[in-house]
Parts: sequence; structure tokens; C-alpha cells
Amino acid sequence: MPEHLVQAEELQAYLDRELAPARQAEVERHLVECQECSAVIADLTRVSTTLQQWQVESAPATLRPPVVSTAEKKAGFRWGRLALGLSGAAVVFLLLVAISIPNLLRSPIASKQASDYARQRAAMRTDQGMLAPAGEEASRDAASGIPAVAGRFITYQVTMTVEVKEFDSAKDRLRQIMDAEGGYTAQASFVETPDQPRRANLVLRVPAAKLATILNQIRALGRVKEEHLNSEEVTEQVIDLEARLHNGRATEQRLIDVLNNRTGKVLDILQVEREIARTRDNIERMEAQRQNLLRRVELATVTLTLAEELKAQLERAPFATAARLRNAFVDGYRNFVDSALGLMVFLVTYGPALLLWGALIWLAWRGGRRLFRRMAKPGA
Amino acid sequence: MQAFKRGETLAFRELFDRYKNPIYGFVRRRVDNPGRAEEITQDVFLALIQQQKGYEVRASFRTFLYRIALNRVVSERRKMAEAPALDPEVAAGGDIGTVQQVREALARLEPEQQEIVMLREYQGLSYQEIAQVLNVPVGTVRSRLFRAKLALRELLAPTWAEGA
Repeated sequence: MPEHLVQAEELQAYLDRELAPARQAEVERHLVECQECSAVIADLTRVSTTLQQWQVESAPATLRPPVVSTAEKKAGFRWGRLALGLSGAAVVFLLLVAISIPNLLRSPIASKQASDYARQRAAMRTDQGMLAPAGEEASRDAASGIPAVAGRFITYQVTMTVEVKEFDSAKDRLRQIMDAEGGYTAQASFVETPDQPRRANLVLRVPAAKLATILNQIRALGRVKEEHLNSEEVTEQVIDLEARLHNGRATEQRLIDVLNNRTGKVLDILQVEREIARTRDNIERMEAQRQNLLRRVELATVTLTLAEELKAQLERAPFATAARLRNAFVDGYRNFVDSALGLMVFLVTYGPALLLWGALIWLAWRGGRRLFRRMAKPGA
Repeated sequence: MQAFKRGETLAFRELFDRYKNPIYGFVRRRVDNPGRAEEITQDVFLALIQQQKGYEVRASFRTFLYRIALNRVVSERRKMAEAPALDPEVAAGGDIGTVQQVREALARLEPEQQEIVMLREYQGLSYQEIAQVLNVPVGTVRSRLFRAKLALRELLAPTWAEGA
């Protein structure tokens, strides 16, 4: 049938669904128009139907699986079981090698791609200042939905100390800022001691895209006494994690395919299942790392110390008069008690020895004195 | 070691249960004597145990098993050529006359064509699997199958005429 667009052999392959999907569809369309080919198809179908008339009985119930030991005896191989075990190990090894080789080949490629991508990003970088206002230079990565500056992934940590005049109203204002900008307080501790200005130590997590706006509002709370900003670019880490995750998922899919088309022994299947569990564990760990990293990018950390200014000035005056006199009295009393106690301890400790030595010295002095007088008398 | 033995037995039992009917059917259509077909089927599974180290993971297990079965049948045919079987029993289900004509038509095909048709029609193997069992290219399988079906059309046409 040279005049046909469809080769004759393709008609049987079409019936057996052995053509590529596109070609299968083309042949199907051709059959609608071509009566000659349709007739051939009908004949081929009829041949198959007729062949199916020849059916055979099922395997007899007497057919039993051969015993493994019988197989070994027939094979004449004394260490048959060992051979089976070794062949099983070889199959597992081949399986692992077959799975690992594409992965090993792919990893350096993915790593190189990640490095190239990061280099391209770095080349595109423009100095935009560390704290670009939200909406101007900060942008949102279209692929991940994570805020990034010019497509880069950057984490920010800010440390600030602000001295405020009205401590309570500053705290309230800070709470309003957090609510309005979508941030939250991760840690908070308040220190309030007598004669000391109040202090609040806070760790705030704020959207990185609004970091500049939020910092401006915090600065407006009072007088900034200290401010530090650290940033770290984690673009390469994110891309590397993405590449490793992609590899991990591909490996897992290949293992699942191996399991679905299992043709090995139970031992091999168990080995594959263990590999799947191990790969899944790695994937979940990497996903957690990725989530953590992206969350650090998404939310900047602001460590803020709010110190009360007014209280600190008022505390100095009373401390210089009444408190100083009271402290002097207390210190004098403590010194008196301490010295009295010290004297008593000294007497108890060294008193007996001093008495003994004092008595001996007194007796010696008296004896010496009498002897000197006798010698000094004339005619003695 | 005990676990390995248990795993081995379980795996083999599963394979045996899954493939005993297809392999028996494969052998039965090529060997007239049902008792002999049963023995050969058992031999196939015995050979499977002995040859498992020759099994490559990349190959389909089904292909591996049918290659063993085909080798056993070829070996059996060689023996039968030397000492023909006694009291052949035709394996038949369906219409006896039609089955006989099908068997005769298949017997008149070229041996290669006959194997391809039978592996496709009765064992349901894909072209790729047939190519692996018979160690020929897939294209060859496709062309031989088509020619065999055309030949069968001519050979079976009288059967259809009788039926009509």
C-alpha cells in the first residue's frame, strides 16, 4: 500500500497499541477515511479472535513449586545457598549503583548550575543601601514568594537601644507598630527595680520588606543610643538546597519506580524500601532547612532595648541626701558589729596562749628584778 | 541468615503463584502431552532458581522467565524429534474444529513467525519483551508479526467461510 500515508505494518502495531501516541492518533484518523486499511484492520482483528479460540487448561493442582534444596541438588552445587545469597547481594549492589550513578553525575552539574546562577545574580547586584525602604528596592521573588533584594536572598539582624521619655506609651506605640506592619514579638523581658530606670529587652521579628519603615518608626520613639545592622546573603544556600531537594526527589521517584516494577527478591525489595525511607528522611530534613532559611529571609530580627530616660534623671537627687546618710549609718553599725565580733573571736582563739605566755614573762621579769637588786646591794 | 532464607522462599513462592499459569499455558501450547507440560513447567521454575545469578536487574523478570521456558521447550522438541511422544493429547478449549485449524495454521508459519504470534496473542507480551525473549530487534518483531497475521488471514479464511 505505497500510496497510503500509513505503512501496512503499522496497522498491526496500531491494533496492539504499540505506536507512539501521536502516530496512533494519525492512524486512527486515516482509518476513518481509508476503507482499504479499515478492511485490513477488520481482518487482523478477526485473525486474533480466531486464534483466541485455542485456550488451554490452567496449571494442574499437582504442579508444586520446586523446593530450593532440590534445585541445589540438581544443580550439583554444594554451596548453592551461598551462591544465591551472593547473587542477591550483587543484584542489590547493581541496583544501588544504577540508582546512584545518575545522581552522582547530576550533583556536580546542579552544583555548578547553582554557582553560575549565584554569580549571575551577584553580577546583577547594584548598591542599593542596606536598608532600602519597602516597595522601592525590596522586591518579592516571583518563584518562591520570598522577599529578596534584586532577586537575592538576604537575612537581616538589627540591634538597637532607644532611650524614651514615656516608657509605657513607647511600649504601647511599639505594639501598634508590630500589629500594623505584620511583625511579632518573639521574646520580651522587662526590668523594673527601685531607684533604677525601667528597661525592656525585646526580640522582634518583622517582615524584611518593611524593615526600613519599621526601623524609622522605632527611631521615632525616642533617642537612638545604639544601632547595628548585620546582613547575610544566603542566595547560594537556597539554590544549593533547591538543587539537592530536586535530586533527592528524583532519586525517590526512581526508587518508587523500581519498587513498582519490582522483579527482584523480597530481600531486594526490602533494601529498596529502606533506601526510600532514608531518601524521604533526607528530603524532609532539607525541606525543613529550606523553610527555616526562607523564614529567616522573610522575617528580619530586631533586638531592641527600650530604656527609660526621665526616671534615670530623677533618681539621682534623693540618692545623694537621705539614702547617703542611711547608708552611712548602716555601714557604721556593720563596722562596729564586725570589729566587736572580730575581737571576741581573736580573744577566744589566742587568749589562753597569751595568758600563759604573759604569766611566764611576768614571773621571769620579777625573778630577774629580785636577782638584780640583791646583786646591787653593798656587802652582798 | 534465617531471615534471608525466609525472604527467598516467600519471594519464590510469590513468583511461582503469579507465573505458573502463564508458563504452563506457554508450554502446553507447544507440548502435546499435559503431564510432560507440567514437568517442563516445573523444570522452568527449577531453572529459575539455578539461573537467578544470571538475571540482570535491567531486564524484565517476565522476559527472563520466558527465555528459560523457550529454551526448555526447544530442548524438549529436540528430544521429541529423536523419540516422538506417545498418545498426544490436544490442548483444547472452545470449538475443537476451529482449534485444530488454528493449530494447523500456526504450524504452517515460519518458526520465527509462529513464536512471535504466540508470544503476542497468548502470552500478551509487548513487542519490546518479545524482542528480548527472541533476541531480535523490535522492528523485526513488528514486521514479522504483521506478515504472520496476513499469512494467518489466508490460512484461516476457509474457517470463516465454513462458519458463515
